[in-house]
Amino acid sequence: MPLLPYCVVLSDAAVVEPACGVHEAQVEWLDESALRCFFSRLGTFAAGSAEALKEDALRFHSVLHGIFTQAAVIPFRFPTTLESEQELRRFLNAGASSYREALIRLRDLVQMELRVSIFRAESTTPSSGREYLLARQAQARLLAEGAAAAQAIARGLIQDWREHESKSALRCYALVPRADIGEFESRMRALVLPKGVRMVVSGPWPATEFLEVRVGA
Amino acid sequence: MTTETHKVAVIGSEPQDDVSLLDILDHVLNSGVVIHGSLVISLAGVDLVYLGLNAVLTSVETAMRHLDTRR
Repeated sequence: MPLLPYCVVLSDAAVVEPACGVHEAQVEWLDESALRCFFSRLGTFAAGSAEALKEDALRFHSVLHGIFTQAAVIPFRFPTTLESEQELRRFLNAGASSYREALIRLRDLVQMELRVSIFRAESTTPSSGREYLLARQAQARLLAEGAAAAQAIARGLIQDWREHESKSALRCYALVPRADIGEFESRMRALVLPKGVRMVVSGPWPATEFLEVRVGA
Repeated sequence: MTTETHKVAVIGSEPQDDVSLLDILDHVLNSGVVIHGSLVISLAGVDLVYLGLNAVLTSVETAMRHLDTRR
């Protein structure tokens, strides 16, 4: 029966797994190379609607979140499935040292995500290529200012920082001590942004943007 | 620097509203370890699952863009 793995933790982490996971399947675990992997045994995913997949994804998140509140995790991307416990063990063993290093390094850290975007009251269409490029430059400058303001106000809490530009926003990832989540959120609420910029802060998430794992499955 | 007050929304990682729901789906579908080479999306109905996932991904991206431009 195929396995749906949720995440990996250090095997000595004190974690109580949620009872039920995706498709109401029991959440089980196995230990391999000082790592513990939580998974469920599934039949096949019900082929079907996006709505059903969304429900499965949310249930997946619920299990992941329940474990993540207790310990640092390396999540699997949904929906990864493996054919057997042997295959899962082989996979864990292949990347064990890299996984352990990451979990120890991130043991007390979480990822907070900041999505910085431009608030537009009205949309204007550039009349030329030059105008378009200037508008893009101005937008990039504003987004960078917003990100810099967030970094400045949370100085002392942020252990590491990553940024990725997307089409309409700048996505920033702050690595923050788990104990400082409340303080980080409080400072973000007090943040005054450049005019026209808005920011959505979400988290805590597993620190996936700060994972540098090399796995040879 | 010209400023205006409070355009920061702080949301958690629990599905309490549309924004956090979209963020959760985005993370579950786009973050985490991918097993290259031994990934089995489904033992049956691969195409359907792929189509379904694409639909979810598309709707998340579209909704996020919509939220970004609307606010």
